[in-house]
Amino acid sequence: MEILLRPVSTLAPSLISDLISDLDAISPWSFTLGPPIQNLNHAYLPDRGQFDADGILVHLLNEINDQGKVIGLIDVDLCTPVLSFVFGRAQLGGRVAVVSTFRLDNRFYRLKPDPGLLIERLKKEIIHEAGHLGGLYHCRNRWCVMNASASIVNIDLKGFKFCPACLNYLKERGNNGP
Amino acid sequence: MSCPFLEEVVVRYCNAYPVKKLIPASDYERTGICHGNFQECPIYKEWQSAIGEREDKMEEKLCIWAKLGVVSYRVCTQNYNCASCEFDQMMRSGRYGESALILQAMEKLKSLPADQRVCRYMLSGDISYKICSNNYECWHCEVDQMIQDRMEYHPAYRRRKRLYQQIKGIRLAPARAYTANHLWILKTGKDKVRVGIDDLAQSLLGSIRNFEFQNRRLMIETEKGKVMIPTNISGDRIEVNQVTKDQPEKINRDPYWNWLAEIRNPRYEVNLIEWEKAEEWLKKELEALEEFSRDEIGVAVSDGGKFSKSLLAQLDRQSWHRMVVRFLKGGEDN
Ligand code: SF4
Ligand code: SF4
Ligand SMILES: [Zn+2]
Ligand SMILES: [Zn+2]
Repeated sequence: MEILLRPVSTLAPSLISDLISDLDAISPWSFTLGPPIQNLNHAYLPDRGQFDADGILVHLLNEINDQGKVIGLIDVDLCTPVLSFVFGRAQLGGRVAVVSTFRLDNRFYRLKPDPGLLIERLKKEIIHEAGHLGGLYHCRNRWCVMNASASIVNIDLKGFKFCPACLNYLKERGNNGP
Repeated sequence: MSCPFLEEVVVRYCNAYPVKKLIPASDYERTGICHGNFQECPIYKEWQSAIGEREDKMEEKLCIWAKLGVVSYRVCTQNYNCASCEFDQMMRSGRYGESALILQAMEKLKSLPADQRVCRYMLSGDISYKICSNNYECWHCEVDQMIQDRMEYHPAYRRRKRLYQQIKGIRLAPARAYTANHLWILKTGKDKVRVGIDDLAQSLLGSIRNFEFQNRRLMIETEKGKVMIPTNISGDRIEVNQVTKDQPEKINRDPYWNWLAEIRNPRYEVNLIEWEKAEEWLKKELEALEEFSRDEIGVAVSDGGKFSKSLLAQLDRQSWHRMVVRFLKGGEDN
């Protein structure tokens, strides 16, 4: 399965290129860099000062052309109508997903910036959302990358890997093993 | 050998009396050791009252929970410092469930003589001493009001709020059974239950203005309009909680303490979700809530965040209506 990564232009290109080679190595999918997302204004919610994750998904869906899947990478705070914030959101078994670096960055928690840690977290979240696109729901295994993360601590706890059950599910649906 | 003039006598004396007055054994048989009425003896009297006190103290040393008959026997080793007592915390937390226990204790208290009917907040260590003069009708008592107000903001009381489990920002109260459409039921007597709405329902409905039970349905009037929720419960008598009726905003503050009605001999037309299964059930409900998304997207899943009252109640009209139908199995009442 091919997955196109579409970052916003404000995300450092060096961050993205490192990311892609790593992701290919540790996940069952192959990632390529797509055109940047131009504009997020349509998804901005002035009342909340945040961006509507579903609004961004709709935008990505409208711009999709071939049969592939797309994950948007953005750097602003995401939310949904019912949740106070989200790290990411995806169509279950669908074609588009989005991940935000906003709350993955140590600076959000008033901690010393740590670029290495940020990349690590971002990779986990991208693989996690890709898992949703592959049809996986959240997993109860705390170490599995498909575990739902309510806070940044959960993200740091889990690994990059799928647990055997999740991996099995993906294989049965034709995703190649890593 | 001994002198023949020496007479040998067996004597007794009173252990308590300061002067050891010897009394020949022959006299003792006749008059008693103290030559008088021992009940009148000051030393005896003092001793007697000391024993009495000791016995009283033993009685007092019984754990409050044992006195109330909630546990069968327990002696207090903490000098009634219940606020820092682990046993007390255990009794009021987790699987025992605070409310049911306190309610049970209150039932016992009601049957005691007036001067022993201590305020329920003594049991929880919130106040040091108070006799209830209000027949345990806490819902219109200023003591209750004061404590509840303090709980809102005082750090020492916030701790107790944790007695409610929180799942992604939605509170779940112990000891209750729940219905699939987010009502709770708490047994408060042999044939009595209290009914209320849970925190998810409260968050979704937003500011509650009024409510009314109408023939197995519950009408709730909110900032968004009127909603009809099926209760699927009938009973011999449904008595509305006048306090929440008069101050419905209390339901939003704490939907578990502020019940809506008391029902006698309840009969259920639906299966209840027992407390042991409630957490699992609520988690599933919240997952379903997270999946709610715009029509174009279909089912979507997200990572992170908490639900909040303000968010749910502020949904646009159409999504809000969909949620009321899905989660409360209700409809709008025009
Ligand atoms: S301190 Fe513990 S043992 Fe003593 S009365 Fe309180 S709960 Fe009972
Ligand atoms: S009615 Fe008032 S005094 Fe009596 S138990 Fe309740 S809160 Fe305490
Ligand atoms: Zn898994
Ligand atoms: Zn997820």
